Amino acid sequence: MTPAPLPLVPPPAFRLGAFLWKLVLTPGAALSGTVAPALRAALGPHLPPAGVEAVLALLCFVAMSGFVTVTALVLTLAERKVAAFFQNRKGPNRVGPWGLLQPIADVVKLLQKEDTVPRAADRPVFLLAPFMAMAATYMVLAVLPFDRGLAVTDLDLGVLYITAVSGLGVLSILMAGWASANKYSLLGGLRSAAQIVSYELSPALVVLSVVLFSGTLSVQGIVERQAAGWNLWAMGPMGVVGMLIYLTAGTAEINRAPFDLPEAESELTAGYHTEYSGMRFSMFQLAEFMNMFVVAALTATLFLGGWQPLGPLAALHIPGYLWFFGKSGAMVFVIMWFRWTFPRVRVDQLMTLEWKILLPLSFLNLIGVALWTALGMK
Amino acid sequence: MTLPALVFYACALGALVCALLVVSSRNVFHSALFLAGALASLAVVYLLLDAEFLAVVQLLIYVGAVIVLVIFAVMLTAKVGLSAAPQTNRLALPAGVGAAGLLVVLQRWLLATPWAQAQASAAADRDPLAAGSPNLQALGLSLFTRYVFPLEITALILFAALVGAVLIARKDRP
Repeated sequence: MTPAPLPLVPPPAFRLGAFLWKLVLTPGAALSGTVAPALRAALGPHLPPAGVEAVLALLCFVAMSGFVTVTALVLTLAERKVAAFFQNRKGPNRVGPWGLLQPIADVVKLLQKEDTVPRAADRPVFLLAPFMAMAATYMVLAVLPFDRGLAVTDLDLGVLYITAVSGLGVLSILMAGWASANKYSLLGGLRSAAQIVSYELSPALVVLSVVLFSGTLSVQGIVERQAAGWNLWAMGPMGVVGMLIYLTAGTAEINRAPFDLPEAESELTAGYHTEYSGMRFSMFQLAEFMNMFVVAALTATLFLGGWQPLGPLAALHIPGYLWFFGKSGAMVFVIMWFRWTFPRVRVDQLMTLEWKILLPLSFLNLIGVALWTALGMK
Repeated sequence: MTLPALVFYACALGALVCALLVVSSRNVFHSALFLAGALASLAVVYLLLDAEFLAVVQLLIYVGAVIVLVIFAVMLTAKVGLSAAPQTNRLALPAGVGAAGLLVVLQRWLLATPWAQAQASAAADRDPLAAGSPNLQALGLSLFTRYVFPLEITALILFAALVGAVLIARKDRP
C-alpha cells in the first residue's frame, strides 16, 4: 500500500513571503478604502457616532506615530551614512550589520539621559516647547498624500493648510529659545524666527503658482492633475525654477545646513535647544527630521507627481506609495547633499538671498505661470 | 452630542480661558503665548462653523505671523518680559466702560442678525474640511465679481502701507 501523495503545500516561510509581497503590491487606496468603512461598520453598533470618529482619529494618530518613529529612525541612519559617504568614511558600522541597528542604540541612549531643566528657566514654557514642535509636524502629516486616497484626510484647502500649520513650528523654537534663559538659546531663537518668517514667503508664492496651474488647492487634486505630466516639465521652464526655489527655501525653513544659523555650533553652541537633553532634545531632533521629510515629500508632491508613476513606467503597476517614498527619498538625499556641499551662509547673505533674489524670482515665476496657463499651454 | 459639537464647546471654552489669561498673566511672554492659544482655538471654532477658509487664514496670519512678530518684539526687549509688567493704568475705568458698551452693542447686533440655518443639520453631519465643499469656490467667485471694488481698494491700501513701511525703514531718508 503506497502512501497517498502529500498535498502540494508551499512551506510556511514561502507563504509568508508571498503574502507580504502581495501586501506590498496592494495599492494604498484599496487598503484605506476597506479599512475605514470596515472599522465604522464594526464599531457603529457599540459606540455613539462621536465615539466612532474619536476612535478613528486615535487610530490615525497611532498610525502616524508609527510612521514618524520609523521614518525618523531611517533618516538618522541615512543622515550619518550619507555624511560618511560624502566624507569618504564608513559611518556607523558597529551596531548590527552595516550599522543598521545604530538608530535603536541612539534612542536607548537618549531615553536613559537625565531630563534637566535649568534653574532660571521659564519652566512650563520650557517643558511645553518640544511638544509644540511635534504638534506642528503632525498637523502637516495629516494631509500628506501617500497614495491615491491614502492620507489621513484630504482637505479642500490642503495646500493653504500646509502653508499655515508649517508656520506654527517657529513658535516652538521661539518658546525654547526664550524659556531656556540663556543668551545663546535666545539668539538662536531670534535668528530662527527671522529666518522662518522670511523664508515662508517664496515657498508660499511657488505653491500659489502650482495651485494656479492645477486649478485646485487639494493636495490629492494637485497630484491627480499630474497624471499626464509632472509639474516639473508640464509648467514649462517655470516648473524647474519653481522647484529649485521651493527646495532652497524649504531647506532654509527647516534650518538645515547651509542655512543652519539658528543652531550654528561654532557661534551659538547649539542654538535654541542648547539646554535640552534626553527625551525633550530627541523630540526636537525628531521634529527636525520629520520636517526635512515633509519638505522633501511636498517637493515630490508639488513638482514630481507625488504617487503618480513616470509616464511609460505606469505599465509596471508599481503601487503609488512606493513612487511617493522613492521620490521623497531622492529629495531627502538632495537636501542631505546640500549640507555637505555648501558652507554655512552669513546672516546678511541669508536675508539677501531671500529678499533680493528668491522673492522677486518667485513673483516673476508666478507671473510666468499665469501667462503659461492663460495661453493654454497646460 | 456629536464630536464636532464637543470640539466646538471645548475650543470655545479654551478661547475664553486663554483670552482671560492674556490680560491676567503678569509675564508678557506668557500673555503672547496665551493670545496664540486663544486665536488658534478661534480658528477651530471658525472651522466648525463651516468657515474653513477663515480658519486657515486665521492660523496663517494671526498665529503664524502676528504672534511671531509680538514674541519677536518681547524677546528683543528682554527686561520687559522678565519683570512683572503693571497690568493697569489710570485709564482702566474708562476703558472698562467702553468695552462693556461695545459688548452690549455687539450682542444686540448678533441677536438681531438673521443667521442662515437652512442646512444646519446637514452641515453638522459632514466633515467641514472634506474635499468638495463649495465654500471656497463661492468665496472666490464673490470676491472677484460682487466685491471686486472693495478687494481692489484693500489691495491698494495694503500696497500703500508696504511702501510707507519701506520709506520709514530707509536709512538714508531725507
